[in-house]
Parts: sequence; structure tokens; C-alpha cells
Amino acid sequence: MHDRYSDTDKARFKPKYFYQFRIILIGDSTVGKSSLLRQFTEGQFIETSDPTVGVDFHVRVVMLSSDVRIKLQIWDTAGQERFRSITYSYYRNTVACLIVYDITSRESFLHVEDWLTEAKQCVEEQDVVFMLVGHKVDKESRRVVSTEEGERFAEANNMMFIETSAKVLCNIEEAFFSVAEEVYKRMERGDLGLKDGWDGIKALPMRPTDVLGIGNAISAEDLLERQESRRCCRS
Amino acid sequence: MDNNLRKKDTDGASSDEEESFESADEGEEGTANSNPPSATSAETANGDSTSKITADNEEDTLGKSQLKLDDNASSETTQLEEEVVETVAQRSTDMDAQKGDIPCEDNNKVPSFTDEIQLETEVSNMIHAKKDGDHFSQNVGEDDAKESGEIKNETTQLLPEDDDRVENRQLDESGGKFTNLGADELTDADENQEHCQVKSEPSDDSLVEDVRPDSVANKPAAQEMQSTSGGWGWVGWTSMLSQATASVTSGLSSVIETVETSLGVPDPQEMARKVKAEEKAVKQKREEEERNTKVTGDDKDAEVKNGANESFLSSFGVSNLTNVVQTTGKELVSGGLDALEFIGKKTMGVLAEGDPGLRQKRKTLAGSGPNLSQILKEAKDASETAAAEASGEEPRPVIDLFSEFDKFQGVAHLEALEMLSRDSEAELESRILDLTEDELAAVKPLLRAVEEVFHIDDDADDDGNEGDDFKAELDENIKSLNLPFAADKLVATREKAREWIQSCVQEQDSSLGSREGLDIYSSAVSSLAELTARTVELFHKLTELLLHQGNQTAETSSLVRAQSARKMGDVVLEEISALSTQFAGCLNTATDDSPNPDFVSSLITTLYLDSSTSADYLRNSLKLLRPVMQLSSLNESSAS
Repeated sequence: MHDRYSDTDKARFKPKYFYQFRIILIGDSTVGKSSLLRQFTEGQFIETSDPTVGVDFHVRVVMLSSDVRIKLQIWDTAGQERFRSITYSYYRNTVACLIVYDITSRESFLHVEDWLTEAKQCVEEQDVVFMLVGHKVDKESRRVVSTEEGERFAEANNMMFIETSAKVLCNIEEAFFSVAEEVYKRMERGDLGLKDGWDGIKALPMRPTDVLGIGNAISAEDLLERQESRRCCRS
Repeated sequence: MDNNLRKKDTDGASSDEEESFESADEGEEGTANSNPPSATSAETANGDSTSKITADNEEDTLGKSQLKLDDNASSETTQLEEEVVETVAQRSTDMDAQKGDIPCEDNNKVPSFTDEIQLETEVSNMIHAKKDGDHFSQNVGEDDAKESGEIKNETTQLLPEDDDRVENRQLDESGGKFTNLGADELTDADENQEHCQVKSEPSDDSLVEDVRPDSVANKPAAQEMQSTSGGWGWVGWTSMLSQATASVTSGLSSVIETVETSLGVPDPQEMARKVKAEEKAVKQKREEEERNTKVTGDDKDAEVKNGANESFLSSFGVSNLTNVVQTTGKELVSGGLDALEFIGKKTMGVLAEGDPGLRQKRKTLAGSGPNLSQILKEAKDASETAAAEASGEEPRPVIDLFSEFDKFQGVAHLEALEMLSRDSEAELESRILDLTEDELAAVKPLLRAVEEVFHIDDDADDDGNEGDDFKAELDENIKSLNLPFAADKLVATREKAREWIQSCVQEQDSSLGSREGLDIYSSAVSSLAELTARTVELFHKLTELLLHQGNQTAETSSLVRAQSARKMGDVVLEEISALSTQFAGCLNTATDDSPNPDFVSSLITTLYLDSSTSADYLRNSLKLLRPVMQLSSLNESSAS
């Protein structure tokens, strides 16, 4: 399978890459993680859905610039407490972590700290971009968590912050794009990159038929080399 | 040219301004003179006759000068020769330039002479100019008279301007080309002065008188200065061209002198006298002429000259002037382009003389351009052809199993399953370490049994159940799992694939070649990938549910679940095998009708390869279930 490219093809598509960022959505049950995600990946708002079992995957390819394509693979985890033992396993291989709370639920906001602690136990903190998402801003009248509170918490814990609504399509795109941009920025700085045994960021070969595929080993190796050489230059 | 432009701008300006641009006006005249193509008949005739005369005279002079040199092989001549040697030596280096210069002057036929002839002529003429100046000028005059009696009169009409121009040239040091021509005609004027009706009372004497003493005094020096003045003009113009240009410019001035001397330049004092008288005569002549030709407009050049000269003296029609200025402007541009082109050529010529290797270098440099690009192009074509040959003429499959598998989230589920399996394995190990020996002995058979369930012999391919058994077997096993999930998606995928194959077979039966090999292959790969991905997803969900149940007591034992899962896996593996065979059958039918049977055959091979890859994914995911099932079993035994 993996030798499906001839040598000329490899040469032709060698310099063009795009990356897969794995993003995980965590937070209390019923804060609207799945709605948020499906609004982003499917463009539709689903009011009620069955509770997520374990984890669901959603994919969307975004263009950060004309030559930077990012495949966002977003893991939508089950918020129910009983699934925590499972979702716990998924944190490690992610490059970004969105902790979602419901602005109408004080409890969900209070649990953010627990989610953050749990996530930080599983990952190397410098490898992950954390974002705090205050969801359901369409229910402004029932708001119990102020924007300032959210901002303060995010700032104190070195997280990005945004308030969204899947129902009225508010800041959905912005949330995921700004996370992707932050990850890419850190990649450019050399703070993040491809690592063996870690699937948070993957390099994929750029080819129309491969937009949904995952790259072969050669592209990834080349990219690793490039990363190495860039680090050498920086030091 | 600048002058010309400025003139255009200031056409309608006050007389004061016009006065300040007098020299500019003169420049235009010079240009007008030097560009007969659009000049009037009189001017053209003048140009023609002048050059003819020059040619004739040079031939004449050549013969005579050789004779003279032979006759007067005395010390006197030698001395004179020596005096000239310097000049000649310098000029000989400029001969090339001279040769090229001349074509720039319209209707001038001098270039037909070789350098040698010109050089010789020059030498002899310089000698004769000093010794026998009168004699020569007389000779020339006679020739002139014979050959172009009538034209000469016309020529003289234009002379005053020429003279003025020469003076102006000396003063404002304009282009050598113009000086050259002016001198050319000046000689004519000298020769032809006898034919002129000399009356020395021009109406606008005041100014002419002001100018004259200067011009007359400068006249002898002017002849010598011309080379420098012309040169300075050019050098100032194109200083960056440095040496090459200098050669060109001195070449220009040497042409002037050649022409002058070949015609026999009179003694400077004599000439000054003649010029003075002639200028007066011409002034008068011009007045008459003006009156005659002003209205006709035929003699545009005469008009512009007059206008230019007298614009600040008389109320000469400005519109007429503008008209002519425009004409001369065009001529100037074309003439200027000619000059530039010539300078370029000449510069290369001069550079090549100084550097014999230049031509070779240029050839190499210029030659490498097309060659290099051609080489690159050929190389590109060659590599493309090679690439096309390497990849084969057949169309390549646009679809591949791995990307299809990923499209259906198979990769993500497999990776998630791996994570859970790894974590389960780690937990299992730690739990086993915590067990007492007795406890371990108690659970060991169970763990072994579960491990045995997931022992998969990769080659085991028992072609057994087919058809509708798939759904039944799957449902049965899912039921036995006793977990809250269904295999609906998996079943639907399988049904879809079966339906596709069925319709494909029907179509192929009714009409040959109705299905493209590539289409069948794409559908096959997509079906296999989806089926595999759904199964992996099923196993992933199963794992999640098992782990989720955790310590909860279950009605169904993990061993039973493990066996059910294993059976499910086997059912799907069989289905994959069966589907591959059926798709291959469709492809095989397509091979018979395909224009490219080899390609379709290769697709069959690829399809079987994809089938085995799908089976590998499935077996791997099944194996990943083992630690999960073992952990679940351990939980059961410890709970019970």
C-alpha cells in the first residue's frame, strides 16, 4: 500500500505537506461538545443527540494560508463521568485540548479545573494548546458564568479563551481556527513538531487524492529532518 | 533633441525666450538639413549634388595628390607630411568609425571609398591645402560648375543658415554630426561664392554685424576646433561610453575634415574674407527668398531656417514654424534612433578591435542563452517522458485502500483502539503483579483461554458460509456480547456492496463492456475499506463499553464475549474474502471487453492485495481486543 507512489511522484509532491492536528474536546456532559463539533464539521446544529459513548471522531480540512492545509481530527469525548476512565486514554495523543463549559451551568464551569488537571496529568503540558470554551452564549438570559470569570480562569491557567454558540453559529469557526493557528505558530517557532510515538501532529503528503489520507513514512521523515535542521539553525 | 523638445514647449513664448533658444533653433535647422528624406526638392537636390561633387572631387584629388606626392618628393613635402603624421595616425585609428559615420549622413556617397583612399586623400589634401590651396579650390570650383551649375545656386540659398550653424556649433558645441554636415556645405559655399550675387546690405545688418567679427575671427580656429567641439558634444552626451565613443566622435570629425580637405579648403584668411562677403550676400538672398517662398510653403526647410533665424527679429508666422518644428521633430527622432543604433554597432566594433577575443566571448555569452534553455527544456521533456513511461501508459487507480479506510474513520478508530488496548495491557500487567500467587493461579486459565480466542492464524481461510448468513451470524454474536450496541452500520455497508456487485453482474450479462475496470476496482476498494473501518469501529466501541463497564458485574462472561468478538471478526474476514472474489469476478468479465486487458488484470491483482490488507487491519484490531478482554476477565474473577 505504502509504495503506491512511484519515485517521480515522491519527488513531485515532496515539498508539499499538510498536517493533521489531533484536537480533543472535553468537558461535562451536556455542555454541548458534540453540537459544537458537529456545527464545525457538518455545518448543522443538532439540538439533542444521544450521549457520546467513548469517543467520536470528526474531521475537517482547513486552510490556514494558501499553502498551509491542516486536517483537524477532532475527538469528541463522552462527558459522562462513567466514561472518564476511557477518555483518559485519549488525551495523550492530542496537540490541542478544548475544555468546554456551559455558561448557564455554574457546575460545568467549576469542573473545568478538574478536566484541566486530568488532561495535564496525561500530557506534557508544553505539547498541548489548551482552550477554554464558554458554550451556549445564545442563552444569554440564563447566563450564570460571566465572560470575565472565564477570561480570568483562562489567563490564570495559560489557556486561550472564547465564548461560542453552536445554535446561533457564534465563534465556532473562530474557536477551531484560532487553535489551529496557535498550534501552527508554535510549530513554526519549533516549540511543537513531529515526535515519534506521539500522534498529536502528523505530516501528510499533499495530493488531491490524499487530502483524506495519511502520509507515508517518507514524507514524515523528510519533515522530521527539516524540523531538526531548523532547530539547529535556531540554536 | 532636447533642444527640439524645448523649442516645442516654448513655441508660443515671448521673443525674449525665443532669443534664449536661438541656438536651439539652429540645432533644428541642422537636423532638418541632415535629414533630406522629408526635405524639399531644393534641399534634396542640394544634398545630392553636394555628395556627387564630393565624390568626384575625391577621385580627382586622389589622382592629383598621388601625382603631387610623386612630383614633389622633396624635403618640403616630407616635412609637411611629418606634420600631418600625427593627425593621420590618430585618424587611421578612427577610420572604422569614419566608415560607419558617413552612412548616417543622407545621400552622402563618400562611404564608397575605402579607408586607404580616404587616408591617402587626407594626407595629400592636407599637404595641398597648405601648398596649393588656391589651385585646388579652383579645380574644385571648375568641376562644380561643370557638373551642377544650376543646383549650386539653390545650394547657396541655403548657405547662410549653414554658416550660422557652423558658428553656433562652435559656440554651443553641439553634435558633431551636424557640424560635419555644416562644414560639408560650407565648403560648397566657399566654392560657389563666385556664383552668388554678392551685395552687402542686409536689412537686418545690426545683428549680423554683431555676430560677424567673432565668427570671422573664429573661422580658422573653427576648422581645428571642430574635432574637439564635436567630440566634446558627443562625450558629454555619452560620457559613459568613454573610449569607444571618443573614437567614434573623433571619427566623425575626421570625416568632416576629410570631406573638407578633399574639396580643397582655402586659406583660412581667404576663407574668412569669403565667408564674410558670402554671408552678407546670403543674408540678402534669404530676404528675397523669404519673400518668394513664404507663401508657397513648398520650401519648408527654407522657411524654418528663416523662421528660426529671424523669429526674434521679425514677426514670422509662428504657426508655420510650429509645423516645421513638428516635422523636424519626427526627423530628429528617426535620425536619433539611427545614430543610437550606429553608436551601438560602432562601440562593439571598437571594443572588438581593442579586444580580439570579444567577438568570441560575445558569441559564447549570447550563444549560451538559447543553448542553455534548450538543454533545460530537453532535459525536462526527457524526464517527463521517462516519468510517463515509468508510471505506465495505463491510467493509475485514483483510489487506494488506505485513504478510503481513513475516510471512514478506520484509522482513527484503530488508533483509539490501540490506545485503549495499550492502557488495558499496562493495567493488566500491574494488576497481575498485584495478584497473589494463588489468585494468579486461579485466573491464569481464564486469561489463557481468552488469549487463545484471539490467537489468529493468518493463513486460516476456511471458505464456508456465504450469502445471507452474514447478517444472521453477526446479529447472533452481537446478542451474545450482551452489550448495548448494534452492528447496523456494518450490515448496511455489507448489503450495499452486495447490491452493487449484483447490479454489476446483471449489467455485464446484458451488455458487454458496460462497466469500466477502474470503476469496479474503485467500488471494490471503497466497499472493502468501509467494511473494514466499520468493523474496527465496532471493536473500538466494544472495547470502550467493556472498559466502561469496568468493575460492574456482567451477566455475560468475558470469555464468551471474546469468543463472540472473535467470531464476528471471522465473519467479516470471510465476507471480505467473498466480496473480493465477487469483485474480481466482475473485473474478470470486464477484462474480456476492455481495450486494455493487461491493466484490468493488474487491477485484479491489486484488488486481492487490498483484500488481504483489509484482513490484516481486521486481524490487528482483533488482537488489540485481547488485553481488553483479559482485563475484563480479571475484573470478573476478582469481582466474583
